[in-house]
Amino acid sequence: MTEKKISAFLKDRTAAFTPGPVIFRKGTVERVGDGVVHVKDLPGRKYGELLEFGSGVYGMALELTENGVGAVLLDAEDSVCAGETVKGTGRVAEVPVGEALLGRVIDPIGRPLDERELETDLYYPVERPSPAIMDRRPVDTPLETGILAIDSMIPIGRGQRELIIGDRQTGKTAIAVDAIINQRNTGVICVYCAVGQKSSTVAGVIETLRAAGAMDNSVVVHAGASDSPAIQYLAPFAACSVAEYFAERGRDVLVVYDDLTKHAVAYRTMTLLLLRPPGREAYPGDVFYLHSRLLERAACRSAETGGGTVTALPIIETMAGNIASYIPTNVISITDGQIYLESELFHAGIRPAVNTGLSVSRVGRSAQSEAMRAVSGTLRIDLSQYREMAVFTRFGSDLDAATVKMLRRGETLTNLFKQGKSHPYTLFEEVAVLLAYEADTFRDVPMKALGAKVTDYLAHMNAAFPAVAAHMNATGSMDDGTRAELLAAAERYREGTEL
Amino acid sequence: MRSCVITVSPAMTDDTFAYLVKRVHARFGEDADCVRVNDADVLGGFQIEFDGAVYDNTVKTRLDQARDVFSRGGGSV
Repeated sequence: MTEKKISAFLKDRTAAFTPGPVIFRKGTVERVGDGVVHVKDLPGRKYGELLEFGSGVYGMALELTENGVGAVLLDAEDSVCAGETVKGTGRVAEVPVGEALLGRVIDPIGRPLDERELETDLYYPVERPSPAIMDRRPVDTPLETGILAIDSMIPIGRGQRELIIGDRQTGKTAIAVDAIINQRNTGVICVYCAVGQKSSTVAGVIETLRAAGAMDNSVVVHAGASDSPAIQYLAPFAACSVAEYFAERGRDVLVVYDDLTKHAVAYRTMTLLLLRPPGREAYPGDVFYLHSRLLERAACRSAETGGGTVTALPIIETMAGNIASYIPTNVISITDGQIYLESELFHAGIRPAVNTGLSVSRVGRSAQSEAMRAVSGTLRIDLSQYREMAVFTRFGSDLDAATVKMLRRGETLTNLFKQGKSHPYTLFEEVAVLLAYEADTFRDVPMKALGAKVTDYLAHMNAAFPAVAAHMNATGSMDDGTRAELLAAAERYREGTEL
Repeated sequence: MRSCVITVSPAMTDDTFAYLVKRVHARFGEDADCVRVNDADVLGGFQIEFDGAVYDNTVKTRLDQARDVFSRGGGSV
């Protein structure tokens, strides 16, 4: 058997071996330092071209001068010496794409990081044009995150760009990961792009996705904190190219960029080392264009261009809650809405710590399922009135019965939006919770016991209405009769009678 | 005159090299000033460097290509 295998292996590889002369353009390394290489000569040089140095190190040409090229290295510079020959490859930075990437962890130029070979023949450039106006269609299909606060009040549609913004340690990545987990049985492909993150953090995310069964339809593109600024710069573009392969074939894709603040910092590092003139906060003048051309590639494609969608969830980290600083305001103006997470809410135990007042989805209710639209109409107003009225309770003033009821319902709603990490709700469960709010099911339940009560209530509803749940989760629809039936069940649950 | 560096194995005969120079002149013009560089590492064949472009037809490069193909992963025996 082994002899046959050896013979078959050799025959296969011999057939694949088609030797021929190698033609390349040549330059010479003039100087190298800080991850930047200056190359002399190199005729026919092109902007963005991949250059090959000795020992397989690659660089990217980003500064073309009359006599040579300034290139940023994609790997460690230790092995690049002055006087070394540089080959012009004639190619731009590319990333492998295809079905073979599902379940895999790669770096921005396609090298596998999960200790297995990656076999694919198709490569896309990391920089690609965004779909033209006439190649798009309106966003009309919801992308359920499984997070009640978001799906009910800040709905995201497939093909939308929704920013997740907040200070450090406010649950930004948790929201994105929960959104990925919620896509596991929906046919939506997920791409998680980690830029400048600690490897331990990314390993934790991968493990969470694996444990939830979400890794099989996901791809992780990782450019860690110890990678070169050039690799970190390429990562989001590579992740988008991976996503576009599927979207051009009619699939829906969710891309998470975690996070674009670090991406902007890596770009700033790179351009300062290339001696480009610094602008505001030392960022280069085209830092807006850096993110706009990335996020414009997220789109809802027309049938003629594949019909698929790329939904982007970029993440931005703020400092001391300042959403009016340079990079946050840039990305807010590019995206179709933002989910704003507040440290105060997080530390008060409200998790996810979504500030519903400052969060918005510009696509709005057209990206909501029919069932959710039917039960979420007054939530924002209720919460807004509750927040306003809550101020007066601090003065200990006498309150009438209606105000007391409003405050109680507001507090209940705020606590209903609390949700455990990595436990996304199905659409049916979200609708059931909001119907329970409408029916005031939990009015006699102390706030501390509310979480457990909701869990018990949902278990009862799932057991009592399995067909309704399956239909609603699959189609997103709910007729008036079903609504009335579920509302009545929520009322009976409050009374303690059989559902 | 434009410089054309031809790197060959020391074992290449003068006749063979002269033929190579004739082919280079036919391809790049008579003003290509061909200079022979002997390098045992190429093992055989030749490498032509002209106007910043390199045409690598050495045995060493062919063997490197073979090594890449035969050492590519995805199989075991």
